Order: sequence, then structure tokens, then C-alpha cells
Amino acid sequence: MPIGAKTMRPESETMTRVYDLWVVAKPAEDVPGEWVAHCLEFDVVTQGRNARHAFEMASEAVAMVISDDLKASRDPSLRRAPKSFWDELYAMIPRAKAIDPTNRETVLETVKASEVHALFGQMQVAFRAIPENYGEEELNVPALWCSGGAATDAAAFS
Amino acid sequence: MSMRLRDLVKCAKAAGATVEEPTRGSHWKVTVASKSYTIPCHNGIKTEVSDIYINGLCRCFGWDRHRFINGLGGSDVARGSSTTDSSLGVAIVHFPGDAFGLATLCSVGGATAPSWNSVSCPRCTALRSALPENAE
Repeated sequence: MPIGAKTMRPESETMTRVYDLWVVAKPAEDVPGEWVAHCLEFDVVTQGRNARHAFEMASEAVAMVISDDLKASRDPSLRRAPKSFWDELYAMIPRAKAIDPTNRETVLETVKASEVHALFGQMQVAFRAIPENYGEEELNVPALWCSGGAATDAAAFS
Repeated sequence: MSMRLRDLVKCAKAAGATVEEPTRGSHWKVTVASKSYTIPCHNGIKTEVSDIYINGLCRCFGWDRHRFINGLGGSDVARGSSTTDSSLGVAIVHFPGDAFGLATLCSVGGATAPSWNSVSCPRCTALRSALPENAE
């Protein structure tokens, strides 16, 4: 399912939990070809083969830690990333360029590490409550921005 | 510096974590005291994980990064407290009683790090005997 192809709203607030999460994806400097994704709300870091894969991996990783926290009666929001990471995000936002939703899939799959400093977006992860269990996570990225690098001026980002 | 998944798993186990292979998806799971974190494994056991990821893992569990990547376990919290002796220029880990974390002394000093409380390193033995608590 393409990222962002589905609008998710909980059918019932008592049955579904929806988290809006900031995710920053950057090319991994020490692992060529890999992208590192960092979910700031839960301070979960993971990586993928490209930007899109990194976002998908972030969704999966976040789902796992939230699910485990909820099962253990632990508040997942206590995992919040340190302030320095939020400051970095806030510094990027004014200079970033929004990626056209119609080009989002193309950008996520084709953007090269040399073209951007970071991609970031607010990702939604929804949990459908199954009795005694949380799972069936879904991913949606309503908006995506690009920060720094030559690609911000490329036609694909306009 | 990046690290292979298999090495990361060894270090996590050395730090006292439980590591589970994925039943579905592309993440292993590390658990310490019911708190979990994920390890990306999309390229199998040979997956190379980034330095940024390792920092995130250590941050999650409050592990000392240097100790973790050297397979020395992650934290001194359960066993003692860590202080820095500026006159020696090394980190000294104080344990209950009079034992000292020699591995930290050795690794900072550049020698091969022995296991905790080992006395095989002459440099550490000398440093330990010079500390006030052990001075006669």
C-alpha cells in the first residue's frame, strides 16, 4: 500500500489509538546506501534501503515499541527524544520545502543521499485494539518535507 | 562507526538484554526489564547498523556507548557509580566495597580491556593501588 494512500481516522476512539509522529530520515553517513529514520516522539531509530523503506521501517519499529509498552502498562510517550533532536527539527522546518503529495512516492523511492540533508514528515500510526492486544498497525504520512541539498530545487519537489 | 547485527546482538546480550528474532517484520527486539527496543534486520544477520542507531539504542536503555560497543555491558548503575578522576585522566567506576572497574581503566588507557575486576593488567593494578581508598 503506498504511503499516504489511505486516510485513517479511528472508527471508534475506544477501539483505535492514533499517534501523530515526527519522523526524520537522513542518509546514513557510515553505511552507504542506507537511510536512518528517527521517530522523535518515541526516540526510536531504525534504517532502511531507501527513504521510503526507512519510513516503513520506522512505522514497524514504532508499532513494536508502542505495542510492547501498552502491554506492559508503560506510557510510550516517556520515550520522547532529547531536546537537541527537536531543536534540530525546528531549525529545519523554516528552511524545508514541502514535497508535492503527487510526487511523494517517487521522491521517497528515488531521492539520492547526495541530494538532500534530510526528509521529514509527520507520520500517523494507528492501532486497532484487539482484546488484550494492540496490533494491526497502519501507516500514513499526510505530509512530507525535504531539508537541504540540491534536490530541494529540483522540479520533482516543486 | 557502524556495526554488524550479529556483533550488536552479542553486545546487547553482554549488556544483560534479551534479544529476540523477529516472528514477523524486519526488526529484532531487545528487551531489558520489560522495556523493548527494535533492531533493524532487513538484510538478515549481516545487516550493518548505523552509528546513529547505536546511539539511539544506548540512549533508550541508559547504556554507556563506549562500554556497549566494546562488549563490556551497558551500564554501571546496577553495580556501582561512575566518576571521573581528573588527576588520572581516566574514568573510574566505583563498586560497592573496594573493587574497581578495571576494564574502564584499561580501555581508556589504550591497553586491551580485561574482564571486570581482573588484575591481569599491570597498569590497572598500579592505578588501583594508588587510589586513596587502597593506600596503606
